[in-house]
Amino acid sequence: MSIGSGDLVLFDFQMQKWTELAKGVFGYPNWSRAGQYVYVLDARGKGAVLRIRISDHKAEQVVDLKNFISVGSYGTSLALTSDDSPLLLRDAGTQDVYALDWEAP
Amino acid sequence: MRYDRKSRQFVSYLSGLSAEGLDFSRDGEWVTYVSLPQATLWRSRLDGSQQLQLTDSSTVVGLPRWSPDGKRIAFSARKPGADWKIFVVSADGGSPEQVISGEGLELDPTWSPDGNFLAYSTDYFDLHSVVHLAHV
Repeated sequence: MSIGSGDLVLFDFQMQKWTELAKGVFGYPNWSRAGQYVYVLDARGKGAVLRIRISDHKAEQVVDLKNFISVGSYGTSLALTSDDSPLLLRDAGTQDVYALDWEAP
Repeated sequence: MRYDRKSRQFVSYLSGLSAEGLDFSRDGEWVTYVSLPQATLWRSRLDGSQQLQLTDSSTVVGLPRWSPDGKRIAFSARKPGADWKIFVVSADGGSPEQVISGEGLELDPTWSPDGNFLAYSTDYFDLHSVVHLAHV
């Protein structure tokens, strides 16, 4: 799933059945290492990282991104470390405008 | 940046590497990522050693994924003017192989637990993604 595709759904290969885990606008789903949770980027509002427990579909906000200035090829993206810590790329650049004087050859 | 839950702060990760799409091998010793702004595929050990570039600048890469055995990396890639396609490359380097030869966009591969299949999506940009499964 990627940003804009909407709800988070899970396919059970044994049952051959899709189940809705959460409604919203989610992207970059990542399984937790033990497989108990799916971490997603919530694109609603100013953004947040949520985790949804597979057993009961309970959603929990892990971090609010309202003060996080992100950057990436396609906006904010999310990855997980091996200990399930969220990874995001911060915009550390500047938006200063410079004026240059130059002499034409 | 890594979000530290104990301190509730973002902290620098991998020496401030400019990259996205990080994915970690099952043994936790290796990481693959897409460098920015070059959008090329790399892998290294977690301490930054044994860094290896796996694609050149002729393609833009997205969302790499380690195979369960840690020997291969699947990823989406696009050459200028072409659609996104699914490739697999050895974690030790070599020529990436396009593993699915359908028409149109093919994106976001992920491995089955046994490493024999890749799930991926098509028709992303009209927001009607279809998930496929391919034997690799």
